[in-house]
Order: sequence, then C-alpha cells, then structure tokens
Amino acid sequence: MPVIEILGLEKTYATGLFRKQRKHALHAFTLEVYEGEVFGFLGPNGAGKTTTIKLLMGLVFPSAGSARILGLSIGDPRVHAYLGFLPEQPYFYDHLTARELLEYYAQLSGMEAKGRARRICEVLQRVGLDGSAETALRKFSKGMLQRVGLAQAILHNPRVLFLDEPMSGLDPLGRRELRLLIEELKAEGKTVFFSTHLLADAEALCDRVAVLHAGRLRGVGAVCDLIGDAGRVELVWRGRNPVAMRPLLLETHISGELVRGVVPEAAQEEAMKILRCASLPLVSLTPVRTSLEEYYLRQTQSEAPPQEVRA
Amino acid sequence: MTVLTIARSTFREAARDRVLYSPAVFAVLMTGAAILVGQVSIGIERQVVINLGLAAVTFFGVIVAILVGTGLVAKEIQKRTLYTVLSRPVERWQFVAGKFVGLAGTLAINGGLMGLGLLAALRYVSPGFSGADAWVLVAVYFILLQLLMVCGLALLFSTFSSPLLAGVFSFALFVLGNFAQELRDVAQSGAGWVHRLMVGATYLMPNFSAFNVAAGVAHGESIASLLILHNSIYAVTYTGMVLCAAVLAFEWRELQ
Amino acid sequence: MRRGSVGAGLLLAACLALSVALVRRTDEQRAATARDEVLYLHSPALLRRLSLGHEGLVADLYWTRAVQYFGMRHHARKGTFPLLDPLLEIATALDPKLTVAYQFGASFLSPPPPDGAGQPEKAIELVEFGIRHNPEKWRLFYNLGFIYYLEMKDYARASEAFGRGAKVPGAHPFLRVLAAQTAEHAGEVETARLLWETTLESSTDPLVRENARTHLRGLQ
Ligand SMILES: Nc1ncnc2c1ncn2[C@@H]1O[C@H](COP(=O)(O)OP(=O)(O)OP(=O)(O)O)[C@@H](O)[C@H]1O
Ligand SMILES: [Mg+2]
Repeated sequence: MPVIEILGLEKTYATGLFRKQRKHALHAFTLEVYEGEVFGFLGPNGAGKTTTIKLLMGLVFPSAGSARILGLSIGDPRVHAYLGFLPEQPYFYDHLTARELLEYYAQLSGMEAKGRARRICEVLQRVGLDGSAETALRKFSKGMLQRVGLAQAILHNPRVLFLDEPMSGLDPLGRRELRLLIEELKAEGKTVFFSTHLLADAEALCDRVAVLHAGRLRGVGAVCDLIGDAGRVELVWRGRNPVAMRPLLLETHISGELVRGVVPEAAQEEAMKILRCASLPLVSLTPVRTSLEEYYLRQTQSEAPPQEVRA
Repeated sequence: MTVLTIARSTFREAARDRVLYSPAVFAVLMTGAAILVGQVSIGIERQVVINLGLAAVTFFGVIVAILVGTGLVAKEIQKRTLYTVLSRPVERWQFVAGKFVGLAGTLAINGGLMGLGLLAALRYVSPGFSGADAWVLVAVYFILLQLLMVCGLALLFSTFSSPLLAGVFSFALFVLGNFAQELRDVAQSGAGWVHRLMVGATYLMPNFSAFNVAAGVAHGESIASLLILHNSIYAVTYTGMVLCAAVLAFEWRELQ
Repeated sequence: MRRGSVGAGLLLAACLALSVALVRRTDEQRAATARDEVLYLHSPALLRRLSLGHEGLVADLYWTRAVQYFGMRHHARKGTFPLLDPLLEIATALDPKLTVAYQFGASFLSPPPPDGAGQPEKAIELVEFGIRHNPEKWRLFYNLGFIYYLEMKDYARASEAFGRGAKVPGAHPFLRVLAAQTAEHAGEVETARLLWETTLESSTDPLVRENARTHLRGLQ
C-alpha cells in the first residue's frame, strides 16, 4: 500500500505587489512512496522540494491535484497524528527549554501523560541533546536546533517522517548519527521521506529517489537501478597509448607511466587484444558504475524531456 | 484539550516576556502619581485617583493587549514556529481559540492586578471601605471587556498582516471604538448609499460608548446591573464575531 | 484545512447579528434617557500635556465637538447649551490662534435661546481672550462690538470696541463709521441695518451671509 500518494499536485504562487504575477513553483506530478521506504527527494535550490513538503503538511494549499497520506486526504486533520515533520531551518519558541518544548509538542500530539517524560528523555538522548535539555532554545546553536527539530519529529513515534534537509547544519558526527537514526527508523518499519542536497547520503540511505528540477519531476527510481552498470569498462595499463586504441576510448587520462582509459563494454575484448599485441601490461579492468551524482546531473542539467523511470 | 494546551503555553510565553510586567508597574506608578496630585488639590482626591487610575488601566491594558495579541500570533507566523505546531493533530481553529484564551487570561491577570493597585490607592486616599469601590471594580471590568475585544482584533489582524501593521490597525480600531457612536450619529444624519455604508461600518467597529463609565464612577454614581449584563453580552458576541473572522482568515492563510 | 470554515462563517453571522442588535439597543436607550454629554477633561493644561505636542490637533477636535454639540442640540431644540462654553474655552486655550472659534463661538454663545446659548457675557469673555492673543485681527473687535450692541445693548462699549478695531492696521474702513454711528445713533434701526450690511458685505461665509440677510429682511 502506498503511504504517500501524490496525484497531479501542482502549486502556483501569486507574486508581485498586486499578486498579479504567477510563479509556477511546482508543475503537476504524480509520485508514490511505499510503506517502510526511505525516499530521497533531490533537486537543486528552488526546485520545489520544500514546496512539496509544505503542501503535504497542509501549510500551503495545492493549486490543483491532491495527495493522500496513509490513505487520508492531506486536508484531514486525523492524518497529522501519524506524521513527524522537520521543517527547513527549524525555529522554535525560544523562551522554552528543549524539554519544555518537547513536553508541549507531546501534549499537542495527544500523547499519554504517563510515558511522556520518559519518552522525552529517550528522544533527547537519541539526538544527542541530553546534556542541554534544560537550556533555553534561545541559546542553542544552529545544529542544536536542527537536533531539537529531529527530536520533535520522532517524538510521538510517527509512522511517516518528512524531513526537509535534515543534514543541514549538522557536524560530521551529527550526520553520521542521523544516518544511523534513519536506518533505525527504517528498521522499525517507518517510512521516511526526506529532501537533501547531499547525494552521497541519499545514495547510502535511500531505497528510492526522485529528482526534481525547476518544479518538474525529472525522474524517479530505485537507487540500485540508477547507479547500476553504465555499460563501460575502465582499463588501466602501463606504458604508452597505442594509436589503434584511440578510436575506442571514451576518456583517457595519463599520469606518468599509467594510462587510464574508458571504453564501451562492447569494445572490451578488442581493447584487450590491442594491449596484448602491443605487449603493454594491463594493471586493472573494472566495470564503470554510474554514481547517483551522475544521474542527478543528467536529470538536472539536460534540457531533454523528463525521463520516467519506474521502479 | 488542545485548545487548553495552547492557551497554557501562550500564557507562559506572555508571562516570561518581561515586557508584560512593566505596564503593570507603570500603572502602579501612575496611581502613585495620582495620590500626589490628590494631596496637592483639595476634596477631589478620590475623583482624581479614580479618573487617572482608570485611564492608566485602559492605556496600559490596550498596549499590552495589542503587544501580546499581535506579538505572539503574528510572530509565530513570521518566525515559522507554527510549522511544527500545525503539522501535529492541531486544527487551525484550535490554534486561534487557544491563543485567544491564553491572551485573555494574560490580560485578565494583568488588568486584575492593575485594578487591585487602584483599589489600594483608593484605600490610601479615603480609608475605610466605601460601597462606591465596587463600582470602580465594575469600571475595571468594563475596561477588561474592551481589552478582550481589542485583543481579538489584534489576533484577527495578525492572521493576515505583519505584527506592526496588525498593531496599528488594532490601535486605530480601539480609538475608533470610542467614537463609533458619534460616527454613527454623523453617518445616520445623511442619506444615500455612502452614508448607509458608513453606518454599516460603525456596526463592525467595537462600540465602546457604553463601556466608558469612568467619569460617573469617579463621582460615586452607581452602574445599572442591566448595563453590566448588556456590556458583558456585547463583549462576548463581538469578540466571538472577531474570532470567527480570525479563524476564517487563518484557515485560508498559506504559511509561506 | 478549510473544514471549519462553514461553522466559523455561521457563528460569525450569528455573532454579528447579535452584536448589531445590542448596539442598536444601546443607541435607543441613550436616546430615551437622553443623558447629557459629559466633558471628561476640563483642564486645558492637562489636555495640553496629554496632546503630546499636538495641541493644535486637539484644539481642532474640541472645536469640531463644540460645533457638533451646538448643531445637535440646536437641531433638537434643547434650548440650553451647558457644555458649549467649556468646549470653546478648551479649544481656544489649546490653540489661541483658532480665530474661527472666537467668531462663530461668539455667535453661538450670545443670541438668546433657542438661537444661541444666551450667554453674551461668556461670548464677550471669549472674544476678549481672542483679542488678547490676536490683536492684529480687526474682525474680532467687530465681533465684540456687535455683541455689545445687539445683545448687551451697551452702546458705549460697542462704539469703543469698533473704535479700537478701526485702529488695527488693515481694518475694514467701515469700522470707523460704525464707531461713530453706534455712539450717536444708538438704538436706531439704521444703525442695526448698517451693522448687518457690513457683515453681509465683508464676509465670504455663506452661512454668515444668509444670517445677515435674514436679519436685514427682519429690519425692513
Ligand atoms: N511564498 C512564495 N512565493 C513565491 N514563490 C515561492 C514561495 N515559496 C517558494 N517559492 C518559489 O517556489 C520555488 C520552489 O521553492 P522551494 O522552497 O520549494 O525550493 P527548494 O527545492 O526547497 O529549494 P532549496 O533547496 O533551496 O531549499 C522557488 O522558485 C521559489 O522561488
Ligand atoms: Mg527547501
């Protein structure tokens, strides 16, 4: 069962002094996210990632289309009981301490009074803030606020998490902890939908990703497919670069003694033969895999019509 | 339940905002000044204390009502603290209602304290309990009702404009509220649709003419219980109307 | 998130209807009991301080209030105008250069009821105050003489007032004529006619001119 169903969701902002100009922040698109998935939402600045998440949270209203979360329409207040949300650059009531803030949110989420205090301690520990529980949020650093944001998102044990750039502002250790946290959440069977600019994190964490560019969905797919075989092999040999080799090479790089060349998979045998004939010693042969970065760049830089990949 | 949670948190925020205490202190100072004035002039100490005290309660009450009304609500929208609140099972009307209850509680306590300060000052200038003191309390109650209406307006304006604009709008309506009756008299003396529109507009403004009893109270006049009932009902319905408008505006508001 | 809208809209309509009904009731009650208007602050000095440097504005407000007060009670044929003098006093004390307040204020205060407040002494006090602060305005002397002549029947003082006015640089030449006329032909119809004719001729205000015309018609 899809946990998040986006059906032709579209958002146009009225801008300008008299709200006459229209700004297409998001063109109609359709997307499904399944139970237990970690889903990465990628795209350059201004692509519409935050807009999508705000639409799903009911903070702004769609210009057209609809969306369902856990089978409930996004306008339905009941759905919020099952959601956790970390906004972009979160900001909280800064006169409260971290513990007071979480207490307030726990009450708003309708959590039982009984387990509340314990759950708050647990969550604070999980985001590494147990030492600053009694400090006013006014005195928190950016990364600490980000951690508070994470704490409040997971506080009420929600089934679906929406994290808008959860890594931003975190130190390297914090990022690692967050990766672990997301993996734990996945292990608990939660669905995590997060936007990010950090492709390495997306590659490491996500089951599937979507790439958004200028308000259009450019591609969706399972990470293992997207970063699969590129149909090329990389050969490294010692010596010179024979003339016969040149038409086959897609890329060459010579450093000192070593020559590195990439050839299409189909030309692998021929290339090896050429090297043997020229008695140049082969050092290594590896199939090239596309990184998520390459896929991302292809989707966001090409002017080609968006490519739909179904997983 | 949700409403009460939000109300309690709003109250706590206002209480932690030390800005809130200074007007109360100031009102007490004003009353102290009244005592000095009373000692300089002869025979009208009570009057001066009541008039000046009630004026101070109104003045500082309105400032607090507008500051907290716009500050706490428009600020939440501007600083986006609302995102994480509204992504929880909290409906927008619950947020508006909770905010209002919290603000009303803050105002009631603030105004109540000022009222007590005024009574203390009265006790100082005319020792011994006087039945007329009760009417002073009723006058303070009327001021509180006005403050609730102003606070509702501040909340309404906060839902669609910046804190500063919301403050200016609500203060303007507070001033207009004191002239609403005169404005309507003027508007009613004419004919045509412009005048009819103006009359309609005066009904949308708060009408404070029946709430200003300071002068009478200062002269020891009593207040009809019917007026107390009437003003209470009016304050409730007017505030209800404003809050409904605030809920409507807020439900349609995009949090960008 | 617009599910509550219908409920809120209905409740809004109900509250609006009820509050309009309540306000109308207040209006009716006020009309029935006809409680007099109250002047909350009597002290110009206090008002000056409260106006935070904008005495002119507050003076204008009080002058407007005075006009409305006079107009409303005049219209309702009340006959008495107890707050008129204090209102004028405050307005002029806040802004002594507010000459309209002397000219029209005097004409509200001096005629006998129901046309005015029947307080010519107050009117004289007001105009004298105006003259002290605006000795260059010949018209104030003219107003003063007018009140002495028509309302107080004190012809000597009237003549004196016109005479003082005639000495003001730029004064209307008729003031000199009026001074002589009021002294020698006191109480004669011709003199009164002359006074009103001067008013008619020297004023541009339509109300004042209409009033002068009415009086001239009455003298024929
Ligand atoms: N309130 C608004 N009014 C007008 N346009 C807006 C508004 N909010 C966002 N936009 C526009 O919508 C587009 C998408 O913005 P959005 O914030 O969703 O981008 P994003 O993908 O989250 O970018 P980033 O990676 O920088 O966070 C942008 O072009 C932005 O200018
Ligand atoms: Mg964003």
